[in-house]
Amino acid sequence: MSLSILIVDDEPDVGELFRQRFRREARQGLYVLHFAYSGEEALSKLDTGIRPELIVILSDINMPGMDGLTLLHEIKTRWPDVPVMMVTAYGDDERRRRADEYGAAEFITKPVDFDLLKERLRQLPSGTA
Amino acid sequence: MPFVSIRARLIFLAVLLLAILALASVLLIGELVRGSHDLAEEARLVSIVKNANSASKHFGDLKYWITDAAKTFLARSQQNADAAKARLNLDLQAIAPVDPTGVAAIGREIATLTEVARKAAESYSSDDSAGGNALMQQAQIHVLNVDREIEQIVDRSEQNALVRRDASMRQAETAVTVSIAGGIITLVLALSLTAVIVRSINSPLRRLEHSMAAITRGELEAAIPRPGRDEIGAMASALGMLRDSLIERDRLDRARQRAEAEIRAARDAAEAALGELKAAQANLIQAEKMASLGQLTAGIAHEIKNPLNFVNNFAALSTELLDELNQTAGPAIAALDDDRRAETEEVIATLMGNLHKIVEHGNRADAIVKSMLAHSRGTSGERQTVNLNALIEEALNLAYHGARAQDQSFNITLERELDTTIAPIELVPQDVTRVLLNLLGNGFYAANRRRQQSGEAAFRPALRVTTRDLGDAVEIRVRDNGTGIPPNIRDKLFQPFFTTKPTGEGTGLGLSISYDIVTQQHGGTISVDSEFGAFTEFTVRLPRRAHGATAGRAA
Repeated sequence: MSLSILIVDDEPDVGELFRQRFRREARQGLYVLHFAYSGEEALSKLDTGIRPELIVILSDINMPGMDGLTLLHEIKTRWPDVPVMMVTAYGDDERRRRADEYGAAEFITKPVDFDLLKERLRQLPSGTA
Repeated sequence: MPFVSIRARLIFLAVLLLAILALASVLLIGELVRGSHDLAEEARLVSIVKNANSASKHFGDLKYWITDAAKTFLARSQQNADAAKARLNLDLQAIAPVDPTGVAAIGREIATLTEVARKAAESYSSDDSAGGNALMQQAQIHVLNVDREIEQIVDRSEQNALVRRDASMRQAETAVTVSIAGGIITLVLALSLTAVIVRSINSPLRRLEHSMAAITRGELEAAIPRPGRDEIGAMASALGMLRDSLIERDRLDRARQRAEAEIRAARDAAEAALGELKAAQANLIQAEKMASLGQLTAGIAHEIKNPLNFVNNFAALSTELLDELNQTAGPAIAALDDDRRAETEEVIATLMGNLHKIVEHGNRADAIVKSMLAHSRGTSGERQTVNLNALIEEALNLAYHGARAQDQSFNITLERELDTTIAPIELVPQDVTRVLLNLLGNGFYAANRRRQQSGEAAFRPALRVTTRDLGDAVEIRVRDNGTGIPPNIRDKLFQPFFTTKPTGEGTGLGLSISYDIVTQQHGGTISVDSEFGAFTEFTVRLPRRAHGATAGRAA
């Protein structure tokens, strides 16, 4: 069964990058990639029901409008079972602490090591479900 | 003596001298009076002698004329005899007060002589020559008596006059002696009294003068003579009061000086504090500039990092894709004719090479950006196990090239005595690198400054880094041969905002932050050894198991 991954980033090229990086997995039907360019768009996409096999990757905490941490909080409040991985350039303790507090599954610093990311995705409970 | 006033003493002296003078004068006048009395007496006796001589002459006339009258009966002779007798009587009257006995005797003899002469005249008139002659002889006896009496008067008078003259001369001598003796006694008395009185005034005055001079010199503890009841005593009392007031004034002066010194000290302290505050303010401004520059750098680095990630990612992806293309299109390419196949393969190889170069240079740029971020503010420090010597090499390169970038003429001999057996150690690399960069930068600055200041042609700036494994700790020594640190500022080295560099060149935060990083973050020690004008050596010890260290402390 294929796993939906929603990637949220205000940078359009991030989508392109993920698409290319995950092209083999997509071809093999392991993952289905979805993209949202803002927190609001992500929430509306989640509302349309692409669960339960969803993993949300927030590739940027700093986004215009709703920021990554707020979005994380919102997602974990409404869909507590959905694993969320945080990706950000800011590796400071305060953000990491808040991300943990809000229930992030992972906290990955930029630049994204895609091999590591794929490894973590495989280890996620829902990833094996 | 000090119980009688000086004025009384002087009056007493004057009165006494006047009394002595008066006494001497009285004595002298007495002598003179007596002398003049004797002289007058002598003069009278001399005139008596004259009278006696005159009487003798007149008696000669008288006896002649009596004899003549007796013999001649001439009336004229009788007249002459009377006249002579009258003149004789005048002389005798003058003598009578002095020698009444003699004069009375002479009177009686003359009366007898006159009677005898009258009887002789009667004899002669009766021609009794013999009787007359006998009477005349009798008369001759009386004449001789008178002559003898007169002579005796003269003798006596002369004798008396001599006696008187001698007496008056003795008087005069006595007077002179008395005068001289009196004068000498008076002089001696006057001198002694004067000496005694002057002494009684002078010696206490001198003592008082000594005290005054001493007090004038400022020796306020000098003894003041015990005050008597005279004027000097009053002066001594006044001097005592003056001294007391001077002592009081001195005490007040000292108190005031102390107060002034305290005020000065307080003012100096306040000024120093103000100066320090101003310096701190300047440094704060500088630090703020540096901080904002650091933030700017971090911001720029961060902004560059995102596009750079895309470049690197897409380059890596492109390599992968090209590999896939190579595999997928491999049979098609192989089916091409030789020329086209060679051309296609060359293009693919070149494309692959270019992508590798993009990845390579992208990674290089990424490393620079990472390093910039790591050394700017706000980066978090994570403990990592690192090779200390490699960290030092990296810091040395960074510091050296940084210094060269700032100053083209900068050069220094770097010596490394690195203990290659040091096992990897767990520390916060960014922060320890910061410490190293700081120590190395300071060493470069000091060595270079000595080169600029000393003008020694032979002077070569040098810096040596030594590492040692101490088992449960590692030791890093950074030693430069620069200007050294003056002893008086050594304890301020690690104070925030303390700097010896000109404003704008140093924040005064480097060693302070280094101190925090070494002691608080890593539980280690940092110490300094220096000889002014010769060298400075910083020693950092980092324990292998840090105590109370908090990772990720924002420095």
